[in-house]
Amino acid sequence: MTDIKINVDATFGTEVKVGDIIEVGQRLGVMPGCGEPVVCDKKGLVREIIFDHEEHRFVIVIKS
Amino acid sequence: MPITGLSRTHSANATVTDSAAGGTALACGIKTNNGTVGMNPDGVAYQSILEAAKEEGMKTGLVVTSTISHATPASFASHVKSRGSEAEIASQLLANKVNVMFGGGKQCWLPKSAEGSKREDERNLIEEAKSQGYLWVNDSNELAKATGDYVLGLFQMDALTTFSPEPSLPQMTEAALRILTEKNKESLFKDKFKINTKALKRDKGFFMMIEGSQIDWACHGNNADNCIKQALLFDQAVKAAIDFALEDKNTLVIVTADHETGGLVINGGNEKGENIDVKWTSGGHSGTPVPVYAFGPGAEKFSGVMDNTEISQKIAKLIGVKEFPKIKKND
Repeated sequence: MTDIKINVDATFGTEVKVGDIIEVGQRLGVMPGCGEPVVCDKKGLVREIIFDHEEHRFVIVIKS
Repeated sequence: MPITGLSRTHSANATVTDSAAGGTALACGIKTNNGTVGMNPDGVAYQSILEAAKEEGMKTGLVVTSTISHATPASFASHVKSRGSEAEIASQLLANKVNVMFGGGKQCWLPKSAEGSKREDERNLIEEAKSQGYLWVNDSNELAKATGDYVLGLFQMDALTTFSPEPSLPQMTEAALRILTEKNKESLFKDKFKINTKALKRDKGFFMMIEGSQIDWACHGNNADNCIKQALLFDQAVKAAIDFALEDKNTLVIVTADHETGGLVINGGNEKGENIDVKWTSGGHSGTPVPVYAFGPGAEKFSGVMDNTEISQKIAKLIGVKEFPKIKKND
């Protein structure tokens, strides 16, 4: 079991919440800077969502 | 405040704006893409209202609780394709010679070799600022005594903590108002009959943008307590501005936002304000129009529903700028 960290643009928020079980290919939010969708490439549990004010993004921590 | 309006906040490429596009709309009077600062979607730089005011002979100021190079203050005095280019933004803020800059973000002003620096070069912008005539202030005591035409105060490496002993947003606002107007208060007359031309030249007023930057951040975290704290700090800064305007009688104060965050709604609570039931609909921004409040000469121009790009356009007319928005000339 490892933690993976995925960044999404804070402007549009996240499409998952802490405690969600994520399936492969599930949309998590949009990519900082370009608005393209961010999807998860592994199955896992959303352990934490951190707001990074400096980069204005959310860091989604997934236990995979 | 006597005048109330509503501002639409969408950007050029999204219904929901970010602070770069929102700040650019407020600063430059143009729509741009999310992430872009002080430029249109094609990468053409537009003059900001701060830069236009400076061209009219006004003094200028930026006061924030984020890093001074964060998207909103950046929109008023820099032009970059990506809001993430904070080191470049800091360089441009200095080159723009904004009279007063208070906030956080030393990390983008110190050379790469300094601990915690976010620069990729060895420029020390704080030393450069000093050599260009800026007074450097590092804490509340120095801020309280600060005086001069150019004052730079960055009170943290990153954003401000918004906790004592660092200066609060209202303290920074009061200090900036004092510094930006102290020379204007010198007598217009050298003696009974001779006009003090130096004082006359200086008396063109000022443009200042003050941001309660961390209201947004508290709302991203759906943290109601911190949202209230940050809003109260901002409210005290507004009070400082209104108190100044009441005494001065010739200052326009506009209060607005670049966007809403969190989709905050109040679902219930009693008439005493107890048991407030707060719900958040998002961790991101929303496309909800934001309020515009105005006080002072010209305030009536800010009533009703408007686009966010109209706010700086209206200010430009009020201060006598002939062409706005306009493409920025290369310096």
